[in-house]
Amino acid sequence: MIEFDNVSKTYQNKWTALNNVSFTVERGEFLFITGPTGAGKTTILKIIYAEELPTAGKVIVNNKNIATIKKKEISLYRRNIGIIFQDFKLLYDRTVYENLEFVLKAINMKGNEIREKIMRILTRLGLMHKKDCYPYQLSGGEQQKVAIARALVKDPEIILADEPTGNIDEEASKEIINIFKEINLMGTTVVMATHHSELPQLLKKRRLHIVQGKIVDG
Amino acid sequence: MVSFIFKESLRGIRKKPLSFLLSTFAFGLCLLIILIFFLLTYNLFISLKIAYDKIEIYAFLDEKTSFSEIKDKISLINGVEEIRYISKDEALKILKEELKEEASFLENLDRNPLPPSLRIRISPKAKQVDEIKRIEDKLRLIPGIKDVWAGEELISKLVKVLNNIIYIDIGILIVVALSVIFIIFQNIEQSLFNRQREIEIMQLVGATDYFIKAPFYLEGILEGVLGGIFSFILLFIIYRIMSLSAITLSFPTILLLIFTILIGAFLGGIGSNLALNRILK
Ligand SMILES: Nc1ncnc2c1ncn2[C@@H]1O[C@H](COP(=O)(O)OP(=O)(O)OP(=O)(O)O)[C@@H](O)[C@H]1O
Ligand SMILES: [Mg+2]
Repeated sequence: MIEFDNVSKTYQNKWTALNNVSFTVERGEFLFITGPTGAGKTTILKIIYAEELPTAGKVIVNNKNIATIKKKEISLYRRNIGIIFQDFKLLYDRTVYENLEFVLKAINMKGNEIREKIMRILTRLGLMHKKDCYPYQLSGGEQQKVAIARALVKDPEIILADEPTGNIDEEASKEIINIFKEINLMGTTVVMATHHSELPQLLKKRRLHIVQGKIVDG
Repeated sequence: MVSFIFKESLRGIRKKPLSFLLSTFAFGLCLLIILIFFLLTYNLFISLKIAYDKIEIYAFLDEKTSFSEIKDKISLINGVEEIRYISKDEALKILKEELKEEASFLENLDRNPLPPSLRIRISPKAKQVDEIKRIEDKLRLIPGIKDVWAGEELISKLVKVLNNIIYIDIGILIVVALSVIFIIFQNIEQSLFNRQREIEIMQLVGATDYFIKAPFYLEGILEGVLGGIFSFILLFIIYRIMSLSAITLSFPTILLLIFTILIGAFLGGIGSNLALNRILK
């Protein structure tokens, strides 16, 4: 599903964030990317969702080479990917429901379909009772759940999560991680970047450990 | 789709109602300057057109020459469209009519001092300084014609005035258009700044460029149209006040309204476009 073939990334300031990275992620797999700060975890995710283009190498996602993707094709390509960040990136002047609605309307989905999809995902994540709350009325864990709901509501085949538990306490983190496990069990491919090097073992999932832009394990 | 774009656009405006309103007013006031010049130029053109259409060449004849003798010769000149003969008596009558009350001194004349003359209408194509000069020279060569008055100096002055006015209009149009575009530009820049998060999310979930940009275009165009309507209303008020003080201008209402709305929408669109291109690569 995702294949990195000798990918290198050098940023404009000549900093090499990735150095000859190769790995594959199968459809339905759950992959952790671990490593110290500045290792290049976020860079890998950014290359997958075409925010950054690799300087060298091939990146194949769903049989498409993302390394040479055209600007115009990016929007359609991203509809198949759900992205979750450490800082949630919610809209604070809109309710939970409206946050999800915004995303579906922005990708031009029809009205009746929108409501149904939102209700289904809110029920699944146990957020129904919070649907009319504003994000500031929610705990950090709940806000991250809303962000996950927003990523899932458009039924992506791939979920990318960058440090999703970085801003929430341990208790809530466990719940969030369990949600990702469930998402993965339903067949969605998950790639998660994290500092917590014990998480892969705990969940018995494959991990890719990188240090200074190089894969050292996995 | 359209409703989403509208809603998002209005949402953006509601976040900064005062600055939207004030910049719309500022936009309208600037546009008013363009409108005033447009209206004045329009009226000037109308009066000049009337003067222009009236242009005729006057040829004064020898008292002994008969009209039929030279009529054919004049008709042969290129550009001559119609020749009217004004006899001595007719000339006096016309003069009396033009002078109205002050014509009384003419009663005491024992002899009619006015020569018979021809009024020569020329074709529209020939209404150019060079052409008139050419016709005038040919007329002078015809025996029996004492003098010719064509008024080409007047025409060349008219043309010069017209050209200068058009240059001034264009200059003002450019300066005002630039300021007006800048007003919209700043406003949209602020909107883009206010809605960074929305834009970021839209880009991440795969919204097309069109969906991302349309609400901002709409805002700029809306501001342009509202500002345009505002300036039109101001112009109309000014026009009515001027009418009260007996300054009669012709006021092409529909033409002005359409012109204002179109130019408002156009300049608003350009302002949005500049802001969008600068901030969203
Ligand atoms: N836009 C950029 N321009 C220049 N250098 C960058 C840019 N983004 C990242 N880098 C550099 O590339 C390296 C890898 O960054 P990256 O964000 O991928 O690390 P990370 O593994 O996600 O770190 P963290 O765990 O702190 O999030 C870092 O040294 C960083 O400074
Ligand atoms: Mg990172």
